[in-house]
Amino acid sequence: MLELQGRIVALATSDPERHFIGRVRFGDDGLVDRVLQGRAAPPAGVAQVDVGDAYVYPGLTDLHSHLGFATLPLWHEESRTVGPWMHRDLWPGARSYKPSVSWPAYAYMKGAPEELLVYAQVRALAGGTTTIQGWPNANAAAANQLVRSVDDGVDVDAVRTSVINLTSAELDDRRALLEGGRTLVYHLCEGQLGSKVAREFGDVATAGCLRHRLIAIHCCAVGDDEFRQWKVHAELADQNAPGGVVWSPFSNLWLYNQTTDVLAARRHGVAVSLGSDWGPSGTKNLLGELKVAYTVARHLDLGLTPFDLAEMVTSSPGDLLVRAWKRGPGRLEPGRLADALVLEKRHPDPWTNLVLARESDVQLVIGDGRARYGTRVLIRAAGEKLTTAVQIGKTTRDVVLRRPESPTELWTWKAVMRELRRVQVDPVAAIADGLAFERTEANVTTPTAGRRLILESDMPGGPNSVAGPPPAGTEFEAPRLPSLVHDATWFRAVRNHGYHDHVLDHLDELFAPDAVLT
Amino acid sequence: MNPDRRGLSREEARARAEPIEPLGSGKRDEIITMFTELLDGLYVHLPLKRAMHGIDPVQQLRRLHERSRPMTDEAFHREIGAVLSNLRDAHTVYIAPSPFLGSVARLPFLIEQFGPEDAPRFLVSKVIDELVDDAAFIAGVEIIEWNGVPIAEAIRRRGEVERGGRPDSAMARALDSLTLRPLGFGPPPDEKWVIVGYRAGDDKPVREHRFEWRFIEPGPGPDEPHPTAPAATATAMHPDRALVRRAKKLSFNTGLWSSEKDDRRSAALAPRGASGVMSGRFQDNVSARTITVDGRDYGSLRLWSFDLADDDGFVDEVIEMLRELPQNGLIIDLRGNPGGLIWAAERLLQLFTPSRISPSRFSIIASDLTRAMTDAPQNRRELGPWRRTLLEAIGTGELYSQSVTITPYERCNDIGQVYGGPVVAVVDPTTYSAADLFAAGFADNGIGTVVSVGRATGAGGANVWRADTLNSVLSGTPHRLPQLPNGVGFTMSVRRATRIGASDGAPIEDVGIVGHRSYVMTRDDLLHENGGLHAYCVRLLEAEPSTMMTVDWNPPQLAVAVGRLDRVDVYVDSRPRESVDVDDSLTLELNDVREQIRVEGYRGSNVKQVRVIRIT
Repeated sequence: MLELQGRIVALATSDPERHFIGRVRFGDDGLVDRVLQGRAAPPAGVAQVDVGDAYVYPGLTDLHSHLGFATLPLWHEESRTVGPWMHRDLWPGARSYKPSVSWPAYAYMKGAPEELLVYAQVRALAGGTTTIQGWPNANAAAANQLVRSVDDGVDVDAVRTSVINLTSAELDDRRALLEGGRTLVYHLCEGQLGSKVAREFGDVATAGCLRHRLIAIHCCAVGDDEFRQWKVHAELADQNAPGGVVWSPFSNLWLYNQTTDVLAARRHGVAVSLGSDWGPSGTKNLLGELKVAYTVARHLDLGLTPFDLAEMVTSSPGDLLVRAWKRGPGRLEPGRLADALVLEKRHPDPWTNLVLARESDVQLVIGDGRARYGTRVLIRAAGEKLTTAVQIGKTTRDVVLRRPESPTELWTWKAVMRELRRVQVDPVAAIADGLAFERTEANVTTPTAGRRLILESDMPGGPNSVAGPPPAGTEFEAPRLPSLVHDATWFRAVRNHGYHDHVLDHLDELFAPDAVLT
Repeated sequence: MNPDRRGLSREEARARAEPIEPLGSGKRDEIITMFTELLDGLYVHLPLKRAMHGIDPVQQLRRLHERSRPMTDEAFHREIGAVLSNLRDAHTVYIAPSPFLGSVARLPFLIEQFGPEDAPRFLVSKVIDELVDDAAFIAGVEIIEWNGVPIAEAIRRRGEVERGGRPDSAMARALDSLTLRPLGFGPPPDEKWVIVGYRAGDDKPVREHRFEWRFIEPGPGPDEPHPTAPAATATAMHPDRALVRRAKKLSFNTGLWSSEKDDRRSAALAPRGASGVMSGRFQDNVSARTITVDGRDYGSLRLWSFDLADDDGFVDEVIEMLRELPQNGLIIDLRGNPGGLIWAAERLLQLFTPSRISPSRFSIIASDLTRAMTDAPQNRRELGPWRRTLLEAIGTGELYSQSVTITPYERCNDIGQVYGGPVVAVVDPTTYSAADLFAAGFADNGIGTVVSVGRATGAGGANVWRADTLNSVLSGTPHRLPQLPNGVGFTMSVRRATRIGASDGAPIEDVGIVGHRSYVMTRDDLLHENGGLHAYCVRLLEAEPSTMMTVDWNPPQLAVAVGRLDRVDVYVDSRPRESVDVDDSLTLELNDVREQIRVEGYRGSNVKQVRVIRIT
């Protein structure tokens, strides 16, 4: 049993803004056992990690990602001269999209599936994320499950996800699942306000899927009327509040120069959570997305407080997942999932502290009651010995990593990166190797020791594919592997590209050591 | 009291009946052979019914040749009826000779169900006061027992003998059949009377009263198509439900009943009585009224039946009604609609959407009989679209012909949107046949929300032909029908409907159209004109982000007023003329208009309203 002692920011249901010096104890069942006030020695059988003055938050939940694309840098179609995209069906047809996004992503999925998922999870952990949505489809669980999957974690049958637009017959099927108590995470109405994709909302409404357990990603093409409709439909069908919308302001501004009307959503009781989206048009983790949300909220005068933003990465998505799993992350209170994020105290206000936190402020990340990632001192104190050092910007952190073919042995970060670089240097060969392996070695029913994972993108393939292989004989270069943190390279790319109209040009200032919220 | 409405006692009805012609053994063989050939070569649901219900009606009929010899005529007809009845297809029915053919046996009250499906309760919703000599037996009393059997159990037992692909649709028919039995499609009640146990409230004692069956003759609707008219081959109707609907009208809506023949001749659309219900020439098929919920007015369109021959006149009357109704939301109620003319049902859909309508498609089973039928000279125009693939099926082994629309695509889109407000459709398990098709088209063309009272529509997915229609269609082919004895008839599913859009290819038969929402009826709904159901539908209508557009053409001025639209595109004679950003209204001068003006209203990139003005 593990216990953290420090400044507890519990986001408890009864008094979410309260924080105090105390302890949070995690049970061996993967749930929060108890939350206690004051400092005290642990009872027998409890390993205590004292984090001093640092804040202890619930682990963060990212409800919108695509882990299969985590190894890709930001993407922008340089040849486009007519401004922001109207909606999500358009940019996959851009000239540079497939060579820069589809094909490299396919190469990593085929050439180094285990390594890709490790990289994506460590990228999330570096931002304090303990639960994440958007896993590629796979024939088996990844050998290293460092971050909980929204898609099939906790209960493999409780959550259904869809990136692609569903037909009305498919929506009928999803309605039956929603009525059966399942949760649907659905990419909906991604594009400019009133654009063609706005009609998707009408389809979902007609099909009876605007429900208490619907989590809709984006919804930036619709506004107040539609969120009001969702409220009415959820009341009629579930006698309950509407579900939630996932706000990805960076991705929205980068592609469309518009974003979700989060005030309208909140006005009608639709819970708002933050999602970092993917490498080509997203932030690297939720610490980045928090700063973007803060910037956009100020720019649009949304009146969101740091506490509001903190809820969007903790209790808000956590409560949505409770609807699916009965228990969920997002609050440090008994019965919740035993996840925590320890951040260095740089600001007296814990909410400001979270919004301004950088990857280097992340001291420790707990998932399911076990230390997953953190400084070597803290992760050792938490009892984890099989860890490998990862370069996080100018500092290092340790992560618990096991070799896929031998789970009792340490897998080094260097070995992971070596494989990923092999794919990056020769993606065509990596694809060939991966497909050859799938043809000859993969056997889902009797997995052999070692390499056995087969990944397929959560994005659609086929004609107009968002993800898929290059035509036979096509040579292409994969972009360099980006860093795990929001660094100068990333800030430079943001400043010079995308359709955010310079709103995000000065994001780096919020990552500065002396940054303040004004 | 009107003697038609009072009806006859069993003895009186029997005394007036024509004698039944006896069958010789040769006639029996002819009937058996005819059905063997029709089920094997024409009946479109045979593969489905074999798979779903594990039956082999063709083999049953072959065996009947021998078995029928010692049978009485009555037993023979019952056997044939049972073979068809086991198909659980309300469209495919044997009509035996009966002294009561065309009559309906009726008790003088109506029972309806409320509450959840797993704990239903049953209420008397209407009473013919003149025929009930128990002052305590009034609308609102709850039925507890039926001939001493708990009411739910009595209905369940009736459900076992009722035709219905799904158990809930059989139960819905069983509920109706407690007080209304269409004769000829089934036998008359065994009992002369029924003893009903009822109570006037949850805390009141159960009382009993005895009710005698009486026999009424509702007759066909005022615009029923002639069996050999083209409309007769475009029919999808539940025949015995159509008779039940007529019996309800005769029994409980005497005003409309007595004026229907006069109304059919008159062209005026008018509100009637204090309720303000609007009806006109097609009062047997459609009515409309304004309903008020929370102080706001909405439209209600009641589609009683599509049993008519003049689809043009019917659609025109509905258009006239829609223009009179409040434009901010409409409830289309299809409960109890037994179907009728497919053209009428499918052509209505266009009035409620800016999008072009795709109608349902129909296929014919591939056999020598159907190839001969589509090849017969009298059928080549009507059935020609199916002919080629039926011939190809000899080589390809396909079970069915290609799916083809019965209502031509152009006819489904010859008028365009008339009603611009949000729309919901209400259905139940007695929404059948052409009404099933309307519900399917409503859902599959994305017109609006389908609210289902109960699980789904009645699931009648076929084009149905009567014996006399088939007589004409098969005339001159090697499969022509024998001369049927007096009083013998049948109906049969000939073309199988499949859905379009995202549900492309899905059958309707035995599945139905599952509503996007389900609604559980309450006692108040039954006693107070569906107040709760209307409030539920209005909440859906109110929640929908709606738009508005009115177009007024006063040559050469075109005046357009909009609500919540931001752009209007105008096409003249199918060519673009103007595209104008608009806040609330605009006026354009359009010259040289020869054929039509099409006005499209946009919100963002999405067309929300379309109006077409045809220059006549």
